[in-house]
Amino acid sequence: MTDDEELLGQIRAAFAALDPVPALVRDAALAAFATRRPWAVLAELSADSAGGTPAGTGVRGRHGPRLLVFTGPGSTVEIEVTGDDAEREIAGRLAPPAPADLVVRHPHGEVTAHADRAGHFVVPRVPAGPVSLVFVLPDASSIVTSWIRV
Amino acid sequence: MSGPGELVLRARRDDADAWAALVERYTGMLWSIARSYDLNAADSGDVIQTAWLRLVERLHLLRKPDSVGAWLAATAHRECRRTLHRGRRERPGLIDRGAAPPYIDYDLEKLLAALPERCRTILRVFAQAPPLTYAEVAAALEIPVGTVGPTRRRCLTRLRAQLAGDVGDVGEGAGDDMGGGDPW
Repeated sequence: MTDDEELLGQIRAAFAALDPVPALVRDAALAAFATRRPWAVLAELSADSAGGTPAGTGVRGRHGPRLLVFTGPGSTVEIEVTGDDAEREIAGRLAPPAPADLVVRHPHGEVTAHADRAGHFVVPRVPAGPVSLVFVLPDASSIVTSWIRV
Repeated sequence: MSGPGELVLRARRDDADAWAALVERYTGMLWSIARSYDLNAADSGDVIQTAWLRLVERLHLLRKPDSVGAWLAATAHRECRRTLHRGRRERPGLIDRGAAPPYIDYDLEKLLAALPERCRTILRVFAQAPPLTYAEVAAALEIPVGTVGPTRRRCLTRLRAQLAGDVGDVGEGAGDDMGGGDPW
């Protein structure tokens, strides 16, 4: 072992004492694997009025409801997020319009809803934090949105 | 030990052990990144969880499985910036824990705690086990790959000098050379 490696080992031990990675963080990362749905079509975040997306922002200002757009091959999902500190309401539209079963996934479970023929949906009482929407279409194919924090 | 690219390929085939190995390998790096934004423990936990969830959703789409560490680092940086942009959290998150270190019992800890944020992050990223590749370090620190080696040398040299008491005040001395400026 070189001197550098020895010093780095001491640094590692010191950080482990000063600011350890909480066990919950590791557990959440392990649990994330169970959300895997490789057969679903991924709609990726393409715009977010809260900012920080590569495709530019400015769907609307920082005040008022947060608007997000997810774009996948052949489909688009637009949502509006409102709500208080603990719970959100997610309303939106699937395009092209189709009736669909909708599951809003979050780290502690899921909330189910339906999109109507026009592709419109409203999902109340979604816990604040990471969420992903899964649409199951009449032909049994599914679309998932990228995980976002609401 | 399997390389990250192989772990990704195994995880694509539903191998939970491979996923656990990826988590083991990169959680420390992600924690270092989140903490470098001065996010509290709750926001840091949420940012990291989101980065892992994003990796799960596109595991089968990653074009360069070997670069999964750099991809995670870039995703975490982006999510941290988004969190800062949206402002401080409004709710308890995954975890909520005071930022104060429990206690400090020897010189190195004291020294690290007193270092400027940038310097502390650099050392922490280099101290990951197993060691991160230069490409991963570059992504974690958002510096060019070519500057990783010199950065590592400079930081360790400076830290040694401080441990030996050769340099004056830790905070100021480190700030000149390893701080948030552009000495890279």
